Amino acid sequence: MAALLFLSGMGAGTLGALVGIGGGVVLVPLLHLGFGVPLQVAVAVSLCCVIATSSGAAATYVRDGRCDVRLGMQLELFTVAGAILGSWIAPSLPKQALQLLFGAMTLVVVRSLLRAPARDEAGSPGGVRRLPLGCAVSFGAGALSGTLGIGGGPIKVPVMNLAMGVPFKVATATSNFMIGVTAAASVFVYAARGLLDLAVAAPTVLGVLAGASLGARLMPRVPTQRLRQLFACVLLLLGAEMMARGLGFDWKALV
Amino acid sequence: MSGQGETRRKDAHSGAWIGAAPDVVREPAAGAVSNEMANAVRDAAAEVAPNGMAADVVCAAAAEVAPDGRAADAVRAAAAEVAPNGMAADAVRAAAAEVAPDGMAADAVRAAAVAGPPNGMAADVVRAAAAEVAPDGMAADVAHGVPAPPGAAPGRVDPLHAGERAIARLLRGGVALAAGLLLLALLGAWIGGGAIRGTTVPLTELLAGRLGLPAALAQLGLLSLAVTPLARVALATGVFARAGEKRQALVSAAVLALLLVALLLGAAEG
Repeated sequence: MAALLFLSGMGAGTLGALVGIGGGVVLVPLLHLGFGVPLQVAVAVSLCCVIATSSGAAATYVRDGRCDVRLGMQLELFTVAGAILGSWIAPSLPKQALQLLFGAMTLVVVRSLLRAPARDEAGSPGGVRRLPLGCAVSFGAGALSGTLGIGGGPIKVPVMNLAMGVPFKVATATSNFMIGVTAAASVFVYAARGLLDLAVAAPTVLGVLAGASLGARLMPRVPTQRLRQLFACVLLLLGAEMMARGLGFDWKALV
Repeated sequence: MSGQGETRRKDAHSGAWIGAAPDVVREPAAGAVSNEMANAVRDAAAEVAPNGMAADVVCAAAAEVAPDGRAADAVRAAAAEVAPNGMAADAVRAAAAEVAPDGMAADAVRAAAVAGPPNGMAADVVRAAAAEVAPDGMAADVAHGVPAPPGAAPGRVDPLHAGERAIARLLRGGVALAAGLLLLALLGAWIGGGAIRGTTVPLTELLAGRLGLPAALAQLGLLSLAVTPLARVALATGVFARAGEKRQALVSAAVLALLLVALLLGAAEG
């Protein structure tokens, strides 16, 4: 089982490093439905994997100057602030409506991403545009992350690329740089509650570290448009999951 | 551009000259001996991509024919020649970002800067390209050899660049430590003929030896991994402060403070 967990982690790490979303969207269902790991344990292990993806990939991206550290820190400030607020107001938010809204929004975002020119024209030579918008969206992404159980990457990568003029690869690398910080804050809580199963976490995280390193080396070689398409696929998967949750559909019934 | 018409005819024959452009470039370049690769890419790109497609064409061609460290030359030559009319920024940015995967982006842009577009646009072009290819601390290094922006101290080692390298080293160190401990844990469990058992325990219990050695090593590995991003934020605060970027230093310090608040709130809840 350890070998399978390692391989699953490696796949999730590679994907996460390429598209900047941490890989939790793949790992949580895989661990829960595929390996029979209890959901809360799967979430805890997935958070560790997000940190592993983030640190493993960002080490390469920062070294190579591929991620915008300044922008990352600014957006991270608003994401963490939003996450703290979100943890307070989450119980009063209309969760199902937000899940359905998020699911519908993914369709719009995917359409925009796929219609973007193959050449990364979204990158503006004048630098980052609409920073206040990015900060506001990051705050919202942070606030929603706890409620919807998603990281900020699926929201922030498209916003950075489509609205703020950050080249797609820089956006995914910067997202990778950011996501580990918020996940780290949560993982301590899960660990303190004894929800981090070491037998599951050790091989999976090791696989993710290997995969993230591989993904970070692959990323510059993958054409931008292919990366966008890959990101769009992951986003569609996430959107479908959100819609299903919003409609009360239980994936486990299919297994 | 005598070859332009010929190239266009070829593509018209295939029915899709836009998609075929990289192939057209690749074909002559692939046969070139190693020291002629750059010229082949440049010449081919100049012929097939005079109208704004330079970036894509150069990317595709250079990535395929110059995988062995010659990307910088290929990109520089191609970008300088096919995009003399203000499009160099796009071409250099896209090409360098795609064909220079191993930290060579800086080299590619620097080389392009030195060669430069012939019409005095070097500074603007390079600044724009550098900002995108190397969006942060590397800009100063990348812009080496072109007119420095007003107020910049030429020749000075960029402290932010050095700081970013320190951040990268910290991340690599944290990852290596975590990976090493996790690997030892798995090996220990395998040699012991069992599996890692248990969940995370408080540090006091960990130190008291409540967990077996493999599980203890695994927990230490995960802990070191979880601490790495927090240490990175703390280091970034120092890096920005040292570089004189007070606003960024404040932002990083605020992130750190909020993280501590989040941890305390989470601990209180847990």
